[in-house]
Amino acid sequence: MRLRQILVDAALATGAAAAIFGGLPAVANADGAGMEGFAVVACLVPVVVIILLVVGLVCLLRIQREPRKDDEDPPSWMQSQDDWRGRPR
Amino acid sequence: MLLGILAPLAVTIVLETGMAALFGLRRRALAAVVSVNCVTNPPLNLLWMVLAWASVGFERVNSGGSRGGTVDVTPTFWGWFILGVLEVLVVVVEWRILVWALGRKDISSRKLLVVSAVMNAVSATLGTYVLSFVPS
Repeated sequence: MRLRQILVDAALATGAAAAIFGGLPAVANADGAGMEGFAVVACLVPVVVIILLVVGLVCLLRIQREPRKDDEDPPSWMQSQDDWRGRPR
Repeated sequence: MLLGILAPLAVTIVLETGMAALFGLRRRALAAVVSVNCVTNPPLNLLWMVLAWASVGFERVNSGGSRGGTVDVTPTFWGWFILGVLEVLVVVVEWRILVWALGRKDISSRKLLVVSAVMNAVSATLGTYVLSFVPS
């Protein structure tokens, strides 16, 4: 699984979460009923938390399965080797 | 109410990813830090909201005087103590998840523990300060 695909999936999931976050208050306030709208949002907060939790776990699972490389900056001796490789001859 | 989940998560991701980058973590490791925050931060904030709602570790202060006004819900000493315990728990959970996701081959377990502790300490202190400017 490539990192680009993980980022695309995460972006899509974030977009869905943002739509829920942005849409719910609008729906809740649409009828103008204070407590009724409040209750709708209050019930859906745990749902949104669970969605975020599942998205995070899925991303972690994909990261765990991805081949391991480039997690840290390469050590100095490797950087100098890269410089050597890139030098024109 | 939804802002109470979204705003802390956004601030935490920005601060913790920044701190992880300062420790030299890159690409896949930073993606893991963002993902692990999606796992730990929203449940923590939901629990904090439930504690405030149930007045466990919180006290209700009427700031409007005898004629009514607004009722502020502020954490007591025990509230901050509970938050401290939860933060320590989050550090351990995030450390173990990062070790599981990234493995011990590229980044040592000890380094991930230090990264987890420092980035959570920064987000708990600086994040609380930043969030004090966000209207609830």
